[in-house]
Amino acid sequence: MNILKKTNIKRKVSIRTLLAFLFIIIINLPIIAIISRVNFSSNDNWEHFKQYLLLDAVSNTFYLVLFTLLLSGIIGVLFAVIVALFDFPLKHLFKWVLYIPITIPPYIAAYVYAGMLSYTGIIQRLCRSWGIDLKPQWLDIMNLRGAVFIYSITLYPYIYGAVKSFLENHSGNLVDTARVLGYKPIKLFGKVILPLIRIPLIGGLMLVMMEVVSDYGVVKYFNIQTMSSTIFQSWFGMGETGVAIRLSFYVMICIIALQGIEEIMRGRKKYVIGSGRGRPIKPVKLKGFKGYAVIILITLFIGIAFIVPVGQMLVWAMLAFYKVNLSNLNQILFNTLIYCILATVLILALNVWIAHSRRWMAAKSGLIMSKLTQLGYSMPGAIIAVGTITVFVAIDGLLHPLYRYFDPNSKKLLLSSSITMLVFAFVVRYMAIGFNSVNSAFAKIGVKYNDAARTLGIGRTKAMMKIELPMLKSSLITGFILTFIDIIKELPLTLLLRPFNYNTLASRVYEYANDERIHEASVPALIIISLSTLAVILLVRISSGKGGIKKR
Amino acid sequence: MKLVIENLHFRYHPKAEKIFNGFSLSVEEGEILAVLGSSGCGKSTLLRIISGLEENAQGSIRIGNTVFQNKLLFVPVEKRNIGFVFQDYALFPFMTVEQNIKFGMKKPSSEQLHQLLELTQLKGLENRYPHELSGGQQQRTALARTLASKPALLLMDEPFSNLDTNLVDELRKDLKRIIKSQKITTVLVTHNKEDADFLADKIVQLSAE
Repeated sequence: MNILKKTNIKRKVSIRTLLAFLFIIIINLPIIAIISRVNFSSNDNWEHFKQYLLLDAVSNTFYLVLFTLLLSGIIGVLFAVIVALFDFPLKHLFKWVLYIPITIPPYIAAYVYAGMLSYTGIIQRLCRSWGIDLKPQWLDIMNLRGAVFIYSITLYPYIYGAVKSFLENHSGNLVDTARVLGYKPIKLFGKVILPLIRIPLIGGLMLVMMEVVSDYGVVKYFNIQTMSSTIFQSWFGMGETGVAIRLSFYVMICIIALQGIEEIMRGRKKYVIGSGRGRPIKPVKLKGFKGYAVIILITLFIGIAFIVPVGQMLVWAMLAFYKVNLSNLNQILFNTLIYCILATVLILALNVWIAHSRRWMAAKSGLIMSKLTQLGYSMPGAIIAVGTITVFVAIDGLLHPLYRYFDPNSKKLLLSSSITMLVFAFVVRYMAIGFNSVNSAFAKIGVKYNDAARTLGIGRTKAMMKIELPMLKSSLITGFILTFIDIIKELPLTLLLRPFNYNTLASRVYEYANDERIHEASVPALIIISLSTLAVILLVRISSGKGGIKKR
Repeated sequence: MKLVIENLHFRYHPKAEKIFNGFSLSVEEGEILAVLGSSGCGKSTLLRIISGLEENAQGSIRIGNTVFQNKLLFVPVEKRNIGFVFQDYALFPFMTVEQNIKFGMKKPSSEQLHQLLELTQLKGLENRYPHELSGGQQQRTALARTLASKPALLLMDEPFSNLDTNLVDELRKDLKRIIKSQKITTVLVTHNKEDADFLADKIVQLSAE
């Protein structure tokens, strides 16, 4: 008989799985740091916040979330239903154009609309020149209602995308059945479509909610006290770390509770037809006036959400072009691309490893792994920022003797004053975006190709690299683009965690806008929007199989 | 080489019913064994356990003089040198026939490639992608890829389930000719008694308890 080899001795857990869990623990360190450092004892600082800021912060956040969900939900569902259920002229163009407003970060839309509607803005000037007397308060956007408008026109694509693809792919039989049974459009919508789209709608609404709770740029510019701005203010403005951590902890618990409630409410009800049984929907042709009415509606909306603000920014950018230091702009663009690409590549690499390992795990452990991988995305940027700083300061404290071993004059906060901290925070915050693309792609191809390669003598990981990754190329590119768009648009983490004097496009827009130099802010803002729009166009081409990726 | 399985126990998870409870089997060198049984009786699972793709089985598995599995030892699938032709062939879709076959070779050689293409009657199709092949050609490509690794044992999962019934007679003959020419010990599972009768030297009937 052949002698036992050490490498063949039975093992309970593989190194691959252990590594995956280690990665998950590392990316959740900021959240662990907040939980471990929260202090519930009452002190003067906390009492002060509770008395003067907390109520406003809670009620404003609640108002913004509630009304943004309502308005963006109406816009998203309306356009998703129109595009999925009906055929009209130029539909193929419009169904992609409706994604484009997502390329405008809410804080940029806020600066532009506030500028356009101000006393010296184009709207009031035009009205004055035409002799129309508008009361300034009618056009005041820098308030809660204005913020709801800004969030809704820039964030509705999350809902539109989720609901549209669900309706297009799953609801054919059910909608046809209801039509055969004589349901008129309004009854059909209320009785069949609305209950059907519940899952994608809630998924989209949750994303919008997270963006609103996370936002710092709009509320800071409009001077609205929210939970997010209070956390920033308490930590970075007043140095009240205890208060910031305690507030972060409460927000985190609320979000986890909301997600839990949604899962419980969903219960055993089934909203998705088993795979293979859902039939794509056959759209009804809108003839004559109805078709043109839809075109006018979408064009008007895209005008408000994209063409007008971008057009205004172009005019401002031309006016301010000579004032903007272009050589400096090159450096800023380079800085931005560096951290965006670094974070995106890292996110994809970690996601590939975790999703690959997940496939051989028991269902429960796999589910826990998925939830933990995505936890960071459900946390507002302020919480991630607070947690990341806490972790990096602690790591720097631990590693300081090592720094001094190599360089006796080394400063104490080496990692926390480098780009590493910013990249890490993005990985924590946006792991979920890449994970969804990568995990669903791995789930789609299953393990059969990996199994086949292993029977031919190569290990699991090598099989993944040589066989599965080439097959997942388009999903990986999709994951890359989606993550890249989110990172390039992000403001609070960039603003707070970037190294000293490390300027980025987002931080430059924020700085110009806060100095009331809106015209100059338009140049970096337009670069962000152009890069995001390019990424969205690339995404559309990949989805429609025109991205130059061979599909075998 | 001779395959010996002794006292095999297996269940998918601790709370599930046992699929194998003290199962034993032996297949002589060069012999073709057909495992016959209805859906869900554990035919494919048996092949996955022999190949090492299922890691939680208990019992011993030996091929020739080499122990692949017992109480203390588990040789991972990639080190077993067992060929496996999957039910849906699992051909790598972005590789041509030639690339798929070469993937199975430890040291890719043109001579071995030509021999295999000849044996499996795939000459002229080397540059086609899997989706450009008929079902029978795909099956022969999967077989050629498996034989390219010169396996000690060949496992085949429902080799004819994905093929048109009017082609099956001819493909059975082809398959038997190829396997016998290689003198390779083979275990194939099927739910079709005709396949088993035609191809196998020995038949084992599995039943779900």
